[in-house]
Amino acid sequence: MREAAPARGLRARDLCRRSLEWAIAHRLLPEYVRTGKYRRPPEPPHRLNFGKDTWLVAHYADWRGPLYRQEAEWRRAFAFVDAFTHKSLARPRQRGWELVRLYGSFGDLEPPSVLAQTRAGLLRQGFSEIDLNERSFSGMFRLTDSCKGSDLPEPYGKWQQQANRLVWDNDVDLSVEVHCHVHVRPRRIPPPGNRSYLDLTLSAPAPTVVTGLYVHLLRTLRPRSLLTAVELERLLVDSLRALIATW
Amino acid sequence: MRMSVGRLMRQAAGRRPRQLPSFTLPRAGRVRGVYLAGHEHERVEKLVVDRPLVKVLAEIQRYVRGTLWRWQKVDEVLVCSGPRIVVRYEHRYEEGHELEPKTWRAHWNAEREKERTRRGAIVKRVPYEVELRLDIEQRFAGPVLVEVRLAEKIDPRGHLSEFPIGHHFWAPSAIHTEPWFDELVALLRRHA
Repeated sequence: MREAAPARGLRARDLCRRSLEWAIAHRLLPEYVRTGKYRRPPEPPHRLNFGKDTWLVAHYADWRGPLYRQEAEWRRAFAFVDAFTHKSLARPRQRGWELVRLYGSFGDLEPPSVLAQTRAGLLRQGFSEIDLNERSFSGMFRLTDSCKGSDLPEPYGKWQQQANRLVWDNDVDLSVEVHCHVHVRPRRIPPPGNRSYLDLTLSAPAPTVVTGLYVHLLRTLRPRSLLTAVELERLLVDSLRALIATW
Repeated sequence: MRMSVGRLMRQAAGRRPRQLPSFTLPRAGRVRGVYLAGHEHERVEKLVVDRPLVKVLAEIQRYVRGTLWRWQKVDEVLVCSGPRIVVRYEHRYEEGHELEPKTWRAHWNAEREKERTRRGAIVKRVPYEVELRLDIEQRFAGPVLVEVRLAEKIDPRGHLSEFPIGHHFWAPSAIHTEPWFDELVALLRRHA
């Protein structure tokens, strides 16, 4: 599977942008034409000029592309980006992206090894460790960031603008949480033994985190029975399609 | 034959001393205006401009800064959804104009005034309050709708109490005499 860019030091805003691009590239959401960031015109200030907010709104009053023509799809794109915000994380009963037995079986690898490499893979992507429980083989990791509304993908700000909220110049706190849990199941077929599996729950639909972690685990643990990259991609597309459909 | 140096040089240049053209600018107060009944007038035009909203705003801003530079921006309301921008500019000024008597009483008063001042017409400094209201709206990916509304109030505070403008006396309408409205509409209509 193709990895977009080196994952080290990834900011949540970039993660959000890449994730939306991934979803659009996999036809989970329609495409849109980028307007580009607003730049203040070179004209000197004057008392008769229009206000800055007026220029901001006028600049982003550009709805080209099939995404904006379908309101339901546009709302989903907004919800997609909104899932990366801290506000959304704090919302009660917010459903995360649950990926059970994500990469398939890790074979007879011990859960502590899988957990340790999962931790290393997430830290490498810029996540910080919130909690790591070595008894239950689970951990919680978080990636935070703060940016202007104009730094996020445009369907987010444009949807807000349509709802009479201007966010282009506002600070937006971003937060992505990953909860991982390694569990063991006995083998069904002989020889007797156990198999380790990894469950991931992401607070936001960030497939690039999952694929980045896959590459890391494959390189460090070298398990034989993991899913192939193509199988993983198909699984992610199906799972994300189902999640997006609920929005 | 002796020649002066100046004449010699003029001959060499092959031309006579330059004469500047002369013309006389009419005084503002003497310009024949458009006289309308009443003291409140309005001109409205609704246009559909097939250009991006940013370009329309830039055109309007350039015009306002270049032509209406004496005016004041009094209000700007922005509605993000839509989006819709309503902006108001105001201009208050006084200008000398010839008043036209319209009623019998006004004619009688005008004759007395002319006799007293020994002038052929009644010229007074007339206060004007002019407001330009622009309602700019773009309905989701459609063309930009611009409503240009130019309104005036002539002597709204009754400074010329002896010559009440509107009924007895008429003063020229600024919004029909000055090119503000026509220029702005023509500018927007270029892209309509």
